[in-house]
Amino acid sequence: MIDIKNLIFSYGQDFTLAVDELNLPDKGFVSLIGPNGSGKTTLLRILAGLLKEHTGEVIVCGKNIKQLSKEEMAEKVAYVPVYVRPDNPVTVRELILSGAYRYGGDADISQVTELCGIEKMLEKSVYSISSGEMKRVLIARALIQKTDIVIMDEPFANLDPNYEIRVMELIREIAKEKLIIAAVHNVTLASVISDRIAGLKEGRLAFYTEKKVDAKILKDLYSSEFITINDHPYPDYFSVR
Amino acid sequence: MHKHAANNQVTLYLLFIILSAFSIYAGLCFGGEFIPPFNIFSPDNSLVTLNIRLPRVLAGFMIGGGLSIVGMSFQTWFRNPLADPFILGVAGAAAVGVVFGMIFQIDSYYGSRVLVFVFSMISIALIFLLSGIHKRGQGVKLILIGVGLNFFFTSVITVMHTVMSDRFSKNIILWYMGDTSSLQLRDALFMSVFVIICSVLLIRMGRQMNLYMMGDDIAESSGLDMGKFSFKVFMLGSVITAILVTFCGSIGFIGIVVPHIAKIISGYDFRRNMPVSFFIGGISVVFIDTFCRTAFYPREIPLGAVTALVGAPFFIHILRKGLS
Repeated sequence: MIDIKNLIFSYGQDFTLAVDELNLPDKGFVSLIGPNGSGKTTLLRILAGLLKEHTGEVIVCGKNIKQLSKEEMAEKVAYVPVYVRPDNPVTVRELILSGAYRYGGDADISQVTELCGIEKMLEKSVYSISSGEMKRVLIARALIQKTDIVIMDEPFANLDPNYEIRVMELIREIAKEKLIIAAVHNVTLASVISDRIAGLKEGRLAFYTEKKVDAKILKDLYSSEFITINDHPYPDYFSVR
Repeated sequence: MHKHAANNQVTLYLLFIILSAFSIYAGLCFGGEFIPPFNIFSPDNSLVTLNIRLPRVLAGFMIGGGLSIVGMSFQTWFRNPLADPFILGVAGAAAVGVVFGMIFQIDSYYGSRVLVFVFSMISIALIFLLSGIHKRGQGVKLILIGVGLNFFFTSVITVMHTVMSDRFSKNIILWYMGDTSSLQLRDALFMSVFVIICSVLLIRMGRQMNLYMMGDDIAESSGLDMGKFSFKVFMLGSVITAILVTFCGSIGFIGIVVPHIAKIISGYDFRRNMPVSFFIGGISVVFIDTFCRTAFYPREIPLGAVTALVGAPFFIHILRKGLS
């Protein structure tokens, strides 16, 4: 559904993202892992149509992303930012309903809000909810947009252990129908739930695999030791103590 | 709960329409000489009410309504609660137009107004060419360019102050205070039609403003074309401001304050708070103007001088206490 060829994007001299080839499937969960500053967010923002100053081809649903208008883009791809702070203290309900903008602004949000566990905070101000709650609100908002592709920048950031599992299950559920591409820092989580994993290092695609990642691959990616516990890789410093 | 809200809506708008009618009616009755409410259109009085008071009342309403709606749009667009209709330098440019007219003695009723309009439009075009409005995240740059232009125009005027006569200085200060006393009826009508059309177009962007307010990433990924949005807000807002400045001079305070009051009263849905801010702005300017030209008769107090005098204490009170 998304095909990338010879993609190059630069922030001046400071950073260049270059992906020669990357083909993403029609549905499933693709996680993007890599150290801070490796280009994950940049790649996601290009795929979401928020950055357009790239060269090369990014084909979304058969069309070059540069040729798609904002309206057409919003029909195909929804985006979950790391965090938002609206200019005014609108309610959670209003923030979620902004996802329905492209088809008129009105939608039945009860199912989605229940799925994300936020049905009790709909009338609260977005300024009063925690960052973990905000994350779930933003995921619900993206689902309301009813697109085949959802791009998430760190969906597991700021979540408590309970909601980490719940959001993980939620994403597994959505990924049966849609393509989800997400930047993930928790490599254990990524290796458990991903259908495919892409590793980015210094703006280059280090690997793209359907198999589980192991401690060796991760060592190359993060330049740090990993060990494997019960089949899953864990950062060494985390497990030793 | 939604039905309840809808009923509140209807009540609110009814209240505003009644208050508007009342303010306009009061504006026609009061002035140097009180004309009883049922006699305002009698043959004896219609000269005063139609030719002197009506243009002024209409202009007052449009200044209040138009500047408030532009203020609301610009504060939203710039994501800055201190933005006002003059933030991009339109008033400064217009003042240079006035000065230009005085120097070259193009200071007839229409001559100076045409000059003011031309100068405001030139500054709007300059902003547009210099800033790259179509790009995202340009708000701060745009405001700074506006500030730069304002300083430039102000210094042109200051230089003129030093070389020209005292009468010139007083005239330009008076112009800055805004003046609706010499306006002719057909101009007031022309201005009203223009301001109302542009305001309605801005109000119709309410849904887009609601989305824009959620932040650039959310707005763009949900289908809002930021370039088109910015262009529309910029053009409609600038044109309303230019036309008001052309006919009435520069009147401060209203455009920055009324949007905040409207938000306190009617919340953050722009489909609601933009019309509310139009009404509040219009009604309060008509009341303030009517009060001043009655209380200080026969002296003319420029409108721009008193809007802040009456409004600022009230505004600070509202901010501290809220309305409820």
